[in-house]
Amino acid sequence: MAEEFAREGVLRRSRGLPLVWLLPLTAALIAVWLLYREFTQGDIRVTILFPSGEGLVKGKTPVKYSGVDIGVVRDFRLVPNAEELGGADGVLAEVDFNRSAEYLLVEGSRFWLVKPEFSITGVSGLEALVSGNYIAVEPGSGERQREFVALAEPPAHVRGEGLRVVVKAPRLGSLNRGSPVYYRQLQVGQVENYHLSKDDTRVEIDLFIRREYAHLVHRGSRFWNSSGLSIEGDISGVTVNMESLAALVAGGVSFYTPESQRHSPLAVDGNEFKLYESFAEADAGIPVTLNFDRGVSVTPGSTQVLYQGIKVGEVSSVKASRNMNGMEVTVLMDPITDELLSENTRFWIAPPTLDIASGLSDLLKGNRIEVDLRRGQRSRRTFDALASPPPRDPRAPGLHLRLTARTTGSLQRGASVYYRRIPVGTVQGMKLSGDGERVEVFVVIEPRYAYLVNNRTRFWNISGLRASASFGGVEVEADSLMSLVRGGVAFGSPPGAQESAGPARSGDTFHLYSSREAALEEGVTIHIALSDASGLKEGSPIRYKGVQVGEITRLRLGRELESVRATAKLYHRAEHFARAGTRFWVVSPQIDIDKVENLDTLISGRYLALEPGGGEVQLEFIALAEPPTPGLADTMMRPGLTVILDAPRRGSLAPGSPVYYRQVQVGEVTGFALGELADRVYIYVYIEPRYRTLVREHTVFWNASGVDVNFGLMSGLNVHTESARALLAGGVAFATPEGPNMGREVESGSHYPLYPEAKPEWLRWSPKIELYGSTEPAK
Amino acid sequence: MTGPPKARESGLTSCLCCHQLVRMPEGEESCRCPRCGGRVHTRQVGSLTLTWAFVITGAFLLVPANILPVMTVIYLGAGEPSTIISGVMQLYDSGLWGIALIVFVASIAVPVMKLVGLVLLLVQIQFRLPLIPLQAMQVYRVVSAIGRWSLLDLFMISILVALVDMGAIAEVAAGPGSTAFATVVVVTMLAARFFDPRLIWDAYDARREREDAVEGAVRNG
Repeated sequence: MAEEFAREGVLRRSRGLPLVWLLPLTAALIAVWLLYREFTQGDIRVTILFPSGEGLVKGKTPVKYSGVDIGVVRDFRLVPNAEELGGADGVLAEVDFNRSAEYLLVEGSRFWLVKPEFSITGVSGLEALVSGNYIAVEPGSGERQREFVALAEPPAHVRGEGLRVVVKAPRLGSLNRGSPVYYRQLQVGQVENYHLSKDDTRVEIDLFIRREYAHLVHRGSRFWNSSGLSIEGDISGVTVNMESLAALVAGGVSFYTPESQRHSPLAVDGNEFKLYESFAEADAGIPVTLNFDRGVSVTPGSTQVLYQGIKVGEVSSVKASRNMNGMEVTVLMDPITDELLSENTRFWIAPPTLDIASGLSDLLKGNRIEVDLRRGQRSRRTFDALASPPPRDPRAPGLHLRLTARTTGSLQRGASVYYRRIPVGTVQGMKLSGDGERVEVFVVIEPRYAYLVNNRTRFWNISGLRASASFGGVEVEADSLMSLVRGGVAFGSPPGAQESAGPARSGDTFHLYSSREAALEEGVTIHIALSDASGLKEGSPIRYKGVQVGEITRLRLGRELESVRATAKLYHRAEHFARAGTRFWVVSPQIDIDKVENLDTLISGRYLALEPGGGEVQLEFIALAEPPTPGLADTMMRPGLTVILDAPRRGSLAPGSPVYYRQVQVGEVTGFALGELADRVYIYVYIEPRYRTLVREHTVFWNASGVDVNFGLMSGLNVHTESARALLAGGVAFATPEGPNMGREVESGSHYPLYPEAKPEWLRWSPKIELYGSTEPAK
Repeated sequence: MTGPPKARESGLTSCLCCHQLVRMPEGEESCRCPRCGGRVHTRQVGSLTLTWAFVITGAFLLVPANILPVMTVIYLGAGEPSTIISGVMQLYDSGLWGIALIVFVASIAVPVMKLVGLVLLLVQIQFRLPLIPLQAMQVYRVVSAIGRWSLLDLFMISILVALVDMGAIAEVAAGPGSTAFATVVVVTMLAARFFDPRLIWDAYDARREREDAVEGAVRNG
């Protein structure tokens, strides 16, 4: 039986479990509560009419408020010719709203589609980029409403608390909704909206200032358009000023409160302000109109108005004048200049000047407008400005002098006045004298150097370069680099003038010489008639023995057009030269077959040479066509020996032809002349002192010019010449017999016959004659 | 008396833990196994009551499980909580009808079928309706076998929640609906567990005896 395998069960009592019914009860409660909530708090179906369904996705596009999804687009349908959209086709979106958002679904609520937007002012709706577009809502307040029309654009209204003010501008500029509002380059708000004023003459721009910055806006605050950028160049660097990159492109509004307005009451909502075009304009300067009679280079907002180097204003606008004959520049003057803007005040354009003292920055700043502020009887706001600085500025302290000159060279305004190369003053300006004949240069000498100027002081121009060139090199001389660029004036006094002359007074007039030499040298002016002045120019020197003793100051054709009349100046101590008998000639380079002379004139230019005479004072001279050959008398005076050779013909001999002894050059032919009876030619031969003992009573001279050609069957061709030079230029050779036959030494002026050729035995003579002086080898 | 003798009639019961044949003390329905100490029932105590309770609980919990979102997939900051139905719809809309079918079967069909099957069995036994015991047994076997497969969804959700956590890029968050759904699955499994299939045969036997008695009375006159 089965019972034998079975074991008795063990009894253990336990309670029943009616508690299990709590489970379905709980579940029922949950389910009922959920169902209740589902039915009572379910979605609200609302329709929103969009002008376009672009960016809406069925079942996806949410409605967000405060960043929270409060609904979702369930469906759309097209609405043809929607009345609300002015007859255009629209898209009606059916949106299920969360019941908690029911209070938003009232009259006045506005809906719009938010799309990601990248603009220079910032990225808005970036979240829409990843999560898709969404519909934003701005709550209204009114009756319950279930049908809405969406806005085409997001409303400009900025949510949040803050100050709302209106600025009025003639133009909108590059401002836009969302353009930032800056206070000290800190963004404190934004442009909320803009619209035309009621009379359509201005643009009204609504600004929103965040609450925490609202206290910065006073009734006296100034707003200006901070669009764009300003670049300030300086030697120390370039500063680029702009409120921000966004403001550069999208525009922006900046404001600040002038010191004087700090105590004005705080602005309240709705206050109206003027929007200035720029900071400078907002600066409340006194607008002054300057009329220029020509175009000037000034830059609005950057060109400054300076008084004694201090900025007192800024150019705010530039335009052509009404009748188009000049420029009308509006500058904003510092209010402190108010009383000084009178009929005596003058404005002028000051171009940048290069001055070591003011530094390069002055040059880089560009033009500036300078003003000479003067009190006057009547206040003025319109001035006729000068396009160039006035020639003199009596305001500057120091000794004011007027220099007159024919020309000023490269002298410029602002150039320095030097005394012993120390700048002691400046050139204030220059102008033509009334008759147009001369230039008047106004200089001012610093007060502490004023004593250096007395009424015998000479001023001269040191502008530019003075170059002197020679074979030794080219020398360029300038007093200083500054004088090179801007020119300069130097002055000095003759010796002793310091004690004897009276001091100069302001307003004195002096002559401005063109050079130091002209100023300090007491010269004599002479006139030289030249047959040809080619290669000469004004300033070409006159030299005596290589020393400059004067210069040509003027060259012009003579009356009969046959000669050139040169006016020259002989420096002092050179009066000795202005005498009868003085000979002038033009020294020009000579490149000849037998010699090269005056090569330096190739570079330095031709010059006049003179040979002083000893007669009466004379101021008119006639220049020689070529350098004077030394006369016989002169030659006689020279140390050495001069003998005269009598020849039937001159042959190819010329002054300078060599004289040989044993083929060694010992002298030269200095000249020739016809004999008294014209039956012969006298050839003057000069023997150098060293070799004068070679010429004896019985010395024979022969013409060594040409070639001696012997031709024989047995000996062949025999060509003989004293030298290659003698072959071309001619020459004279001589020989002296041996022993007692040579005779005694001769005096200058002795006559010898000139044989046409040498006899062979002459060539064999070899007398032993002691030479003068050293025994250095002959050339 | 027809058919083979029944253990119950001999006061014998098998321990369901260690399969020890236990003699039930006189007049008792439940005792402890003398070998392993496990509970030994002639029939599960309060089987119908417990099963009813769990089935009703599960039925009610189907409401939150389907209304509340099961999970929220947030991709690049955007995401909509999805319920089971909407998830299936999304999958179907995306063309993944195979997966949609699996999810639908596992998450909706199976729990509902379980509840329906259990309710059928309970009603048949409770109200002594005529039943075919082999069919009923088949229903019971299916119900108890497929119950656990409904947890597939929950596994998927829990794995997704754990794996897909990439901050702002993508995130999966489980919703309260998944808790409700898990509860439904557990509750239906418990209901199946507490249902004692021997009751089917008891009901069948009782009916047969009643019919026999009626037949006998008719035959005996």
